[in-house]
Amino acid sequence: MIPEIGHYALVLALLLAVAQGTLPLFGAARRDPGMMAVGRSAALAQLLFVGLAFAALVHCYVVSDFSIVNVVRNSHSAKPLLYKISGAWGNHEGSMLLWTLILALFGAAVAGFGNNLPDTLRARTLAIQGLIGVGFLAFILFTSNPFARLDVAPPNGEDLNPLLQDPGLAFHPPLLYLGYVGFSVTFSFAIAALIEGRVDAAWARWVRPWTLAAWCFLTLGIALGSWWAYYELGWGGFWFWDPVENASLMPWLLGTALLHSAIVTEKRDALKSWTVLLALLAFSLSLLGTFLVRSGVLTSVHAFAQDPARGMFILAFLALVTGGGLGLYAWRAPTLAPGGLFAPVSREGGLIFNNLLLATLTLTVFLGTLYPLALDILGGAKVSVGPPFYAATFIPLSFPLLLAVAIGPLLAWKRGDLGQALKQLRAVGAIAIVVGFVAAWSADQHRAMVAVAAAIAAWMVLGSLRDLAVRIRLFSSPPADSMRRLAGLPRATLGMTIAHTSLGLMVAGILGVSVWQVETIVAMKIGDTIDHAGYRVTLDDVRALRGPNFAAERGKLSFRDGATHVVTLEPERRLYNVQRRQTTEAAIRTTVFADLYATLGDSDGKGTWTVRLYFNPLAPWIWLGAAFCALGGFVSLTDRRLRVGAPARVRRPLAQPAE
Amino acid sequence: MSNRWLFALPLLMLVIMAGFFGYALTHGARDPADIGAPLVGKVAPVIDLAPLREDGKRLATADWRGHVVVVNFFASWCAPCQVEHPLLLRLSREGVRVQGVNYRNKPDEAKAWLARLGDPYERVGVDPDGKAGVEFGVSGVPETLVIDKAGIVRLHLRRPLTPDDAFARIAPLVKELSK
Repeated sequence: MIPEIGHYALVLALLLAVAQGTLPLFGAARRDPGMMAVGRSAALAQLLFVGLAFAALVHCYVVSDFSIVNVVRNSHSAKPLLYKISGAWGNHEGSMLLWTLILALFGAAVAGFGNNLPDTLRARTLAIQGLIGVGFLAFILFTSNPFARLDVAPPNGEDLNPLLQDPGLAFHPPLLYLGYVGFSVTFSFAIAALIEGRVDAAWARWVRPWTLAAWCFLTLGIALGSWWAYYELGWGGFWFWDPVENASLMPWLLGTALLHSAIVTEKRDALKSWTVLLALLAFSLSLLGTFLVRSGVLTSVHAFAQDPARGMFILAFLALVTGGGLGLYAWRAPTLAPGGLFAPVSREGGLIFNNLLLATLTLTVFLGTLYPLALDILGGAKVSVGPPFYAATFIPLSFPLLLAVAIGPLLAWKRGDLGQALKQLRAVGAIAIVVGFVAAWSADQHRAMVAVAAAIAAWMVLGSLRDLAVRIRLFSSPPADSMRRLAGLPRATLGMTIAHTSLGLMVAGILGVSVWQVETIVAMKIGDTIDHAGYRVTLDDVRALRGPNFAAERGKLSFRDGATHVVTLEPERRLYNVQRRQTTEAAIRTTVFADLYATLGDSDGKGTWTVRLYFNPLAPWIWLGAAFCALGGFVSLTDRRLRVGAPARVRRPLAQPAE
Repeated sequence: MSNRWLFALPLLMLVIMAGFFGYALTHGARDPADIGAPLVGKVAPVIDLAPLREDGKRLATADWRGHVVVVNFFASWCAPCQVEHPLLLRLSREGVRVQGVNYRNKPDEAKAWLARLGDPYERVGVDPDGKAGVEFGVSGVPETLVIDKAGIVRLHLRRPLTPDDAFARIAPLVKELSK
């Protein structure tokens, strides 16, 4: 019964989405407030019904309803509750439903929080959001029904891929989708603005919080996925330039560009058509990612639901949405009035430099991802584009961008003074050069590259912190005064400083792991002791144990530094009962400056185990950096400027009970 | 006027890309995971690798002339290699000349591995940085090739051997080529 309610709720949501996608558009054209108002109520109701369908699917998973094909394929009664729930989106159908739920969530958020928007802009934005919803709901209902029943229900399910039974992966898709789908709002805003023929500072300010929110979630989602790969796949790597990882990186890069170009549109009323184009493309690239993962055109560890029929549907949808958007762009964008003028060296110029490089980086990833596919289709050779390509293109291209991070904020609007800015950064530059030399001296290979990267990391961190110190007059006025200034700093500035500093930390972390990682792979018997990265490591014990749906071996490795015991790591190797697949559960000890990382490999059955040990200097900074980057975004989101312009709402002094 | 067309450029790019994907999805049963075996029918690449065992001989393409050989890429860190290992031992007992390329592996670990599981290889060459692997176009380990008397690659399997691979394909092929 409950699955049927869920299915029916989806049908209702589709009908509502059709209404939401059409009536407000007509209403806005005719200035009919009644028809425009349909958008808000339809968006809220759509969230209700898609939410109902999603709850129904989660319910099926929690109670292990094996009459549902989807549950049989991806669940098992012995699975822990968290993974029963996350199993609901650990597959094609369920993840599309999650995607649609988040789309509805954003639509409802625009309806709920968009009080400060002009009626026509809000109506049109909600209508476009509704039309996107029509596409996804139709996709689910016609090709990927998560509620399909089985004629004879099997006694138990086939379980979820053990690699996905992990807390990191339980939350990776929701965060990632909050990012991907969040860009649908900027897309809808861009379309609405093109229809109205008006892109101005107010528009840029309205779009900003949505872009920021989407960008923060995407940052967290990507970081979580990368962290998962690091601790679960068991060989110490964290980014593989896999096509699907690239598919998430491209919207992130363009989204970052959009965040920066929208500032120019907001402050200086310039770069309008470029900002609109970025808003269109960021979401288009999110859709492209969906297409690549689900159509079966390429192979990847992430690819699922390889079904050409679904592929054609998404392709048609992608072409319609992006094509509609870009067609409208080709038609309307030339009429957008050009904005304020500025000198090449200026804050605007710096932000354009940022945008050019970010767009080039996106293009690099785009070519690297699609070139093998193109060559294959054209009947050429089978090639794979891997880390060497990106090491030769992406990484050096990112250097000037990262260098500019510390300089840009020092340039004035309209006309800046590069010499003056560099003069302010003299001390920072000197320290960065020393750091670069020290790094090159301690590296074994690629010394020039290492020197540049290390110097850049130091430059970014110190340059951003110096800027903050100057703003709050640290050291040049009493500490209490500095604290007061810090509290009074615009949140957007504070957020920028946090994000730029953490980006520098991330660069340092990536460099640390890439250059100074120590890897030891040995066969050990119980009681054996080996040397690893300055530690004496003893395999004390390997025990067998049973989990809820797996059997495992857990090793006990004690690390000693001289006579003092530093830490005991307990890596596991699990064999999941149903799918008979093994997973490694790395044991990691994180300190501020490094990770000690151990995994337990196969045994020969005679008391010898393969043990992999890593020493990953600065590894924690990669994910801390990413998390703080997102935090910077959230801090910036609280800037009061983003709420100014909203009509002052007078609330009754008593707190309202939550509905 | 020309400026106007610039704004249509993104749309044009999209049309090209969409056409491309549409073609890819509808034409031919393309399996993206299958990277084919372009070496089959061609002369085997020339390699000359140092031996794994101190007292062993170098593994060189030139020495294979006049013999039918099976070349197997393996590594001690590769679990599927361990799975197919007994099949290689049986092939070797049946008189097939199995040559091993120890791919991206530490020699001590490879030696210990062979000492533990048995050694089916007539000669084993070391390929510590994967250069021989690049020459042969392997995408990983294990992979197995059959090379005829004239040095032409006749079969290239990119997967751990199954009993059918070993005894219904490789063994009969070696027998036929050896005639």
